[in-house]
Amino acid sequence: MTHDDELDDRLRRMFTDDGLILPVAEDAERTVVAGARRRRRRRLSAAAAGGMVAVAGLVFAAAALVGIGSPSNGVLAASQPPASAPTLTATSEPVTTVAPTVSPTSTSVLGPFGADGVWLGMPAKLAVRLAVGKAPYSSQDLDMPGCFGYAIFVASPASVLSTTDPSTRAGALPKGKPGLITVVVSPSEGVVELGGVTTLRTPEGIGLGEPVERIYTAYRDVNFLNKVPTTLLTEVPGNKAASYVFDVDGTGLVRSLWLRVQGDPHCK
Amino acid sequence: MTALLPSAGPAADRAEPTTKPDEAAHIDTQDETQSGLQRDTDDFAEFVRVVLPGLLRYGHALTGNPHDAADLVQGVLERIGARWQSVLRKTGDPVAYARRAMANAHVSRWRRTRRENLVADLPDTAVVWQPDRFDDEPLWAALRALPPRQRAVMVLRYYEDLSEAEIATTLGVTKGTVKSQANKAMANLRATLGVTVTERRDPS
Repeated sequence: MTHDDELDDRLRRMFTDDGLILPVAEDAERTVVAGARRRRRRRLSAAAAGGMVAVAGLVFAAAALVGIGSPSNGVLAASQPPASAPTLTATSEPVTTVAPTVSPTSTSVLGPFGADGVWLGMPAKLAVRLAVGKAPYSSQDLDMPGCFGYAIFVASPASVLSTTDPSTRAGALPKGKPGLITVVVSPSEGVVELGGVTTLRTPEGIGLGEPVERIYTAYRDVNFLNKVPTTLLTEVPGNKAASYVFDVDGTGLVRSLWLRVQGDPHCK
Repeated sequence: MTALLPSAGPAADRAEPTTKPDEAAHIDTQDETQSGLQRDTDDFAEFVRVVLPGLLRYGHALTGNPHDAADLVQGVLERIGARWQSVLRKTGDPVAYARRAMANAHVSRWRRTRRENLVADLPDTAVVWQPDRFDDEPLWAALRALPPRQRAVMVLRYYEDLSEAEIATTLGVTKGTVKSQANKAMANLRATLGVTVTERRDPS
C-alpha cells in the first residue's frame, strides 16, 4: 500500500468513525425553530421598515453569540467529553455496530422527511454504517431491484421493529427490537425508503392496525402501488418529493408503513 | 451558540425530556394564528428533529469540533427555517440543500470570524473548552489545521464521497480549483503527519 493509499484509507475511516456522532440537546429542535422564527420576523420587519429593524436584529444576534461555552449560560454549554479517545491508527478496524444516537426529544412519528435521525436521501454509506443487519428482502418483495434493505438504529428507542406478520416485507427482521427501523438503500441515492412493521405512526395518525378507510380519510391522493390493491401509495403532506406506502392485509388493516421517494429510485 | 448539544454535567444524563416535542414545537407560537404558518412551523420542526443528528455529525467533520459544528448547523437550519416554503419549493431536497449550505457557510464563516477576531474584545467570562474525542488523533489535528476550503474539499470527498465535479458545484468553484485544493490538502496532511511521526519517534 502506498503512502497515498494509506492516507486515503485513514481519511475514509476517520470520517466513518462513531466519534463524529454528537449527542443532541433536549431542546435543540425548539431552539432552532425559535431562531428561525426570529430570523423570519427580522426579515419581514426589515422589508417593511427599510432595513432599520434588521440592524437591531443583528445586534441581538451578536449579543446571543457572546459567551459560547460559558458556564453561566445553561443552554449554550458544551457537550460532555467522551469516556475514551478513538483509535484511528492505520491498523484499526471500523466498528461494525454503533449505539443509537438517543435524542430524548424524539417521538414515534414517521414524518414527511424521515424518522428519528433517518431521512430520505441519507447517504448510503452512513445508513450502512448504522446498520445492524441486512433485511432479508427478496428482489420480488423489495420492488426496487438493486437497492438493499437494512435494519438500522434510529434516534428513538420508541421506534419498535416488530414481526407480528411474517408475510410482510420486514418479516425476517429482529423481533420486537426497540430503536430499530428498516431502510432501503440505493448505492447512488442513499436511503430511498424507510419504515416497516413499526410502532411509528404518520403525523396524520396512520399506524399498524389502522383500517384502510382511515387512509382514504387522512390523505387526498391515494393510489395502488404497482396496481397491487393491498399496497396503497399516498401523498405526504409537507413533502411533495415523497410518498407514504401502506401494506394492508386481507382484513383491511395496515400491516406495515413506509416513507419513500417519489417515482422509481435509481438502484445502481 | 452551542445550544444544540446537551449541557455538561448531571443534567445531560437525564433520560426523559422536560419538554415534550409536541409542546416544544408550539412554544412561542401563540401570536401566530394563521394555520398555514403554524403548519409550516410544525413541518420545519419535524424536519429539524429528523435531520439534526446527521447534520451535527457532518458539521463535526466539517468544522473539527463539536461547538463549531453546533453553531454551523444552528445557523444554517435557522436560515432555512426562516425561508422554509421557499427552500422546499426551489430545492425539492432540503437535506441536500442544508448540507451544501453548511459546506459553504463553513468556508465563509471562517473568513468572517478571522476578520472579527482582529477587533473583538476578550470575553468577560472564562470559556470552558471541552476536549474533542479526536483531540489526540494526529490526522484529526492535521485536518483541523487545514484552511477551511481545503478541509471542506477533504470532507466532501471522503465523507460525502462526491466527485470533483460535484464538489465544484457544491462550493461554487471550478473543477480545477477543487483539484488544486485537494492536492494542497493532501500535501499539507502528509507534511503534518510526517512531522508528527518524526516527533513521536524522536521526542528530543
